[in-house]
Amino acid sequence: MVKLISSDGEQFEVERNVAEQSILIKNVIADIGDDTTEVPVPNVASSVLKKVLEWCEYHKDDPVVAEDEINPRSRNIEIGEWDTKFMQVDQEMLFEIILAANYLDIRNLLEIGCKTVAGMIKRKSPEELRRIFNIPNDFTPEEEAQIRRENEWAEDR
Amino acid sequence: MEQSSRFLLTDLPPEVIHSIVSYINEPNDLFHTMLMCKALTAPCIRELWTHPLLSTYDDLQGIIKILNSDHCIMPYHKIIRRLKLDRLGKEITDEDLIKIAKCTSLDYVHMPLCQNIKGHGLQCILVRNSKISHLDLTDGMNIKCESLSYIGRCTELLTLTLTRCINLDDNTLYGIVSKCPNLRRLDVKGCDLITWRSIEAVTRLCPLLKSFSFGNIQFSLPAEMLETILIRLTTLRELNLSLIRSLSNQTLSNLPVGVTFRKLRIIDLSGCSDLSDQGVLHIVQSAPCLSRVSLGKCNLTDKGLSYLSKLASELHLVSLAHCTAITDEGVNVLVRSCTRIRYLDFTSCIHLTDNCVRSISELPKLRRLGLVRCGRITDTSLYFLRRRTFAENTLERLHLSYCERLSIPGLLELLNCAPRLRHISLTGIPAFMRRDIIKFSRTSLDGLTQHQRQLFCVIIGEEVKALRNYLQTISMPTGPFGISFDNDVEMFPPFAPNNFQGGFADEQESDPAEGTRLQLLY
Repeated sequence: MVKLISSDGEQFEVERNVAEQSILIKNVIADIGDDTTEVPVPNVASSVLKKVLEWCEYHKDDPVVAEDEINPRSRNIEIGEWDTKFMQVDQEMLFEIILAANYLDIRNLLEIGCKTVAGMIKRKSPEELRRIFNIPNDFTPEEEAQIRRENEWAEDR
Repeated sequence: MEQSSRFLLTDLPPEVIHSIVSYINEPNDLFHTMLMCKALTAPCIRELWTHPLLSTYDDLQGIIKILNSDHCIMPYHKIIRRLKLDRLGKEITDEDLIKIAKCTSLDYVHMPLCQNIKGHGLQCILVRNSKISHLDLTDGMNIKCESLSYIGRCTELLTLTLTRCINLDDNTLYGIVSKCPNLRRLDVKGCDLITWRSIEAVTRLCPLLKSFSFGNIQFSLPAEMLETILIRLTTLRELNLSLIRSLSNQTLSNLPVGVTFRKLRIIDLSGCSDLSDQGVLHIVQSAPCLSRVSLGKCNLTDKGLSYLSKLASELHLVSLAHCTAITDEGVNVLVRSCTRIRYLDFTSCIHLTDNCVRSISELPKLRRLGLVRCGRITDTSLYFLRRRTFAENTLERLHLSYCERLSIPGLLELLNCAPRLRHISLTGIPAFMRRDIIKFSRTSLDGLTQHQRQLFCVIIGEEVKALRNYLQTISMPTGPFGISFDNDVEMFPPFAPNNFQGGFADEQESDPAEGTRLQLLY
C-alpha cells in the first residue's frame, strides 16, 4: 500500500499498482526506494486526487501499451462507457482532472480528458464556444477578420 | 459571463491545449475554435495547416494564395508538413508547385496521377524541402529525368514511389538511391528504362529496404537476380515483381537450396505468365513465412495450389485471378491446409463450382472473396457463405460480378446472414440488372464504356443494408404471423391496404412503399 498526501493534507491509502499508474509517483517510489509508503502530491487538491484515484482504481488492470506502439494517426476518438460517465463532472473539475493527469503523468487519463473537451467543441460556433467555456472575445475586429480570411477555406468542411 | 469559474480552459498549460486541439478532427470545428480566443488560435491553426485537407483544386488554389501573401497571422509556409494531393494530382501544374515551394517544412508529399508535371516546379519543392521522408509521384510520366534526379536532395527519404515515371533511367535511379541510404520502401514499377544495372545498385545502396517493387519492367533479368536481392536485402518484407515476363521457373530454381528467407512475407508475381507450379514450389521452399501471395495470370494448376498449401497457417492472402486451369480440388486442398486465409481472389477461375465455395466458407477468418466471372457459381454458393452462425460471419467484401447464375433469393439469404458485409459487386448479373436494385449501386467509375456503365452494380457501405431491407420487402415480406406473402397471397383474407399497413405498424423497418406495392398486387 502507498499513502498519497494531497495539497490540503488529506491522506489516501491505495494499492501500489493503483498509484503507479502515475508515472510521476512510480518514479518517485523507484527513486526513493521500494519501502516508501508516503508520497506527497503537493499540486493536487484532495477533491481532485480522490477522483483521479477512482479512475486509477478502475483501470489498474488495463494492459500497458508501450509508447512506441501507439500510432498517432490511428488514435480513435471513442471514449469507453465508464470513462464517459466518469468525465461527467463540472467544467472546473474536468480541467482540474486534466491538469492533475498532466502533472502526475497518467497518459490515458490525460487523453480521455482531452478527448472529452474536444468532444465539447464539436459543431459549435465561436460565440457558442465562448459561452460554453466562459471565455471573453479578446480579438480586435481586424484580427478576427484576418484569421477568418486566411482560414475560411476550412469553413463548412 | 459574471459567474466565471475559477479555472478556465485557457488556464490549462499550452501542451495540454495542444493535445486537446489534436483531437479536433473536423476542419470546420478547428476553424470555429481558432476564432474563440487568442489562446486557441495558434494551436488550431497549427493543427489545421500541418496536414491541410485538400479535396479540390480550388482548395489548393486557396492555400497557395495565402501562402504567397504577405503579413500573414502565422508563418503558414513553415507549418505545412504533409501535402496529400491524391484527389487533385491530375490538375496540378509546375506553376502550382513553384508557389507551393514557399513551404520549407514539408515531410510528406503525396501526389499520384501528377501527369501534368514536367519537373521544374517539383525541383523547387525538392530544393527547399530536403527533409521530405515520403514522396509519391505515381504516374508522373512527363517528369524529366533531370528533375527526378533532384529527389536525391532528400537524403532522409524513407518511402519513394515512382510508379510509371517512365523517364526514370538507370543513372538517375542510381543517383537517387546512392544519396538515400535509409530508404525503406521503393516502388519503380512500370519505369521502362531501368534495367538490372540500377536494380542491383539498389540492393547494395539501400540495405534497409523493407518493400521493393520493380515489376512491370521490360528488361531481362539475370538468373541470379532473386538470389542477389534476397541475400542482400536482409530486412525485405515485401517484393513486387508483377508482370516481369522474363521471370520463369528457371529464375526461381536458382534460389539457394536450404537457405530460407523468413522475413519475406509478401510477394507479387502476378502476370509472370511463364511461372508455373514448379516455380511456386521454389518460392514456398525459400520463403516459408509468406503471408500474401499474388499469382494472378501465372500458369498454375492444382499442383501449384498443393505446393502453396505448405505455407499452412502463415498464408493470409492469395490471389489466383485468371489462373484458369485450377479446379475445386486444388482450392479444397489449399483452404483445408491454410485455415487462416482472410483474402481470396479467384477472378475468372472458370472451372470453380459451388463445391469449393463450400470449403472456402469454412475459413474462420475469411474477409474478402473474389469470384468474378466464375460462371459456374450458383445460389448454392451464397447459401454456403451464410456460414454456421450469424456472429461468426466475418465476410466484408464479396465480388460476384458476372456470376450470371446468381439470383435474388440467394443474394437475400446471404445478405440476411452477413452482418459485416460492406462491399458486394454484382455487375453484369442478369437477375440484378433492374433499376430498383441498381439504384443501390455506387456511381460507376471513370473510364468505363457506356455498355459497362449500364451493367455496373457495386453496392458499398450502408447501401448493403438498404438493399437487404429492400429485398426483404419485395421478395418475402413476412406478415405478423410469419406467413410469407408472395406464396400465400391468395390464401390471405382480403383486406384494405390501410388495415394492412396497420398490421405492420409494429415492424421497425416497414417501408411505406411496401403498402403501395401490395396494393398493386391486389
